Amino acid sequence: MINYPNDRDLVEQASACGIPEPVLVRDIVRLVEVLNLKRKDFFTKRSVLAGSMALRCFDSPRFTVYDADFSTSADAVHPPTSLKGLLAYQDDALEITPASLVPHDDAGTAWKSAPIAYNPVFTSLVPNPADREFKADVSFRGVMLDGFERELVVPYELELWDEPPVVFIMDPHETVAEKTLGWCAHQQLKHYADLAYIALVSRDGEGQLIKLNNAKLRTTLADKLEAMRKLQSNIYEPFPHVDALIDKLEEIPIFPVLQWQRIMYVRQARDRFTQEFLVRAVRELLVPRFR
Amino acid sequence: MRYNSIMPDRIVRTASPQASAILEAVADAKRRSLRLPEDEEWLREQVEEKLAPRKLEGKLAPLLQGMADRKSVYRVRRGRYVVAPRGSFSVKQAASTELFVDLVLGAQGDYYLSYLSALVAHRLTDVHSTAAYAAIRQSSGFRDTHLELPGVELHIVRLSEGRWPTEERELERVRIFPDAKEFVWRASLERTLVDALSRPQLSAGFETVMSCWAVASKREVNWDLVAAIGERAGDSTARRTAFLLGLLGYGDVVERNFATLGGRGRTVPLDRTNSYRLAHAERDSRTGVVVNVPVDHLRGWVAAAANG
Repeated sequence: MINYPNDRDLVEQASACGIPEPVLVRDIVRLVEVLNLKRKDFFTKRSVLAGSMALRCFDSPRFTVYDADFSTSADAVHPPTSLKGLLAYQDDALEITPASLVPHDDAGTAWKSAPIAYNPVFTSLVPNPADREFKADVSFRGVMLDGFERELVVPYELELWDEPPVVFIMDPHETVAEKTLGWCAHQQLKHYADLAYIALVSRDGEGQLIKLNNAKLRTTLADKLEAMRKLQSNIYEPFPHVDALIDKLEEIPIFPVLQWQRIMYVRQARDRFTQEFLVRAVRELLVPRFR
Repeated sequence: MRYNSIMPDRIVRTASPQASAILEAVADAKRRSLRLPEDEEWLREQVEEKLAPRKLEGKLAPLLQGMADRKSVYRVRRGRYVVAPRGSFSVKQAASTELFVDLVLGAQGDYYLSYLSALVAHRLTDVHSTAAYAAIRQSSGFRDTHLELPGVELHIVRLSEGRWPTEERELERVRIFPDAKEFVWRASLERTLVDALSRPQLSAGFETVMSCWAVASKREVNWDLVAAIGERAGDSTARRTAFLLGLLGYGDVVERNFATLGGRGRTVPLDRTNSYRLAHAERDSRTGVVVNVPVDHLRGWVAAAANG
């Protein structure tokens, strides 16, 4: 599936990126999982890689520690529990064993497999069994916008592949909507950090990685909010209208020290992605797009 | 020209008959570590049995140090070694954080892993930490408060006798590797929740603590035991415990265990680290807890836990 790195290269790259070796290994395992799903034809324009791993395809420097997010529909995968068979993977160097899929909302529109256990035979750097797990969150609500194909990008130099593989990822307009809801309703800083990154790389000019249409951005957010208010009315009660979300986005957030330390950027990006930088990006670049 | 001089970064290991006998004895015992002086007598007996009729001359410590120099074992600390797996080049390939902790604290009296280490071990959070957190008794002769171990910084908390676990259900003896007879002491799920609430600064912050409580509420937890541990952990922790139990919908547990807890005249910050520094915070009249965390944040974390 990939060219598995050896331990010396893993140690070197983990050090270069400033991340613990087990986090790097888990990242590689999740990439293999993505490629496994690609080989099993999971990905289409309506069945996509989502969340922070999808943002990697736009060079996001933030390392997701544990999750892999996918968005699909009952048309693509039915029943949801059958996804367990798709997630399972084995080769000589790696074995991935998912837990059964269970719903994690009352309507059965979102499922998860946790833990997905793996045995990374290719490395000895993960001796702790607790470090040999990740989680897959799979939305079955159906994407609002068609996904599109994009090369997988990794922020480390391990020559995992000769030619970068291509997978269908969530449309960034929809990613912005999901991250905005995630930040406003669940107050998790990782979503705010990702919004700031999207705001930065969607600026016009050289270095633009994501093209965003402001009207589409607002419409998608409004549609997503309406859908989620139907599914989880209690959680979204403080946000009766899209403008309530945008007002919330404009507030200057509090960054408790320990929460901030959990946001894991690759070493090369840490000096740049300060709290002040993120706040300015969201308030000055992203919020005006919605107004 | 010897291979080793061409590839100096590659380790060529040689083992004397004595070293081979030591490695075999450790493997026979289904262990990955050696502890001196505790293992001296047992190991000498095992090695001499394998070397018979020859005797092992001198002490084991210099022999193990020689093995460490030749990278057939890794030295973790004085008298503490782990066996080097074939082809390994780093002690981090040889053992996990939990084994390192037990190597250091196991001979020092009672200890247990808790706080963020136990939150992670109980799968209540997906935070990855390069720090480990353990508690020892106040009376312990162990003086360090933090130690650098391979790949991890160990933080040690001293607990008074009154706050030390009293029930078997508060601690677990956990096998470190499925195929080895080595164990670590860890806080039970219930004990972990209260420990984390009492010291959020050792538990990745209040958001993590609150999220972990919310995740636990979707699991099988003995909430009466949580209440009992919280009640014993001091007045402030008792009040925080009662408040969180009420917030998560366990009003009946609060009534059973905190019936006499009066809120009047008491002000206990929910987050003792006061990480949000709110200008104004509501006070819960039932428990006396001052909710110094934004209410929408509390609600969001609970909802996020419910969603996944």
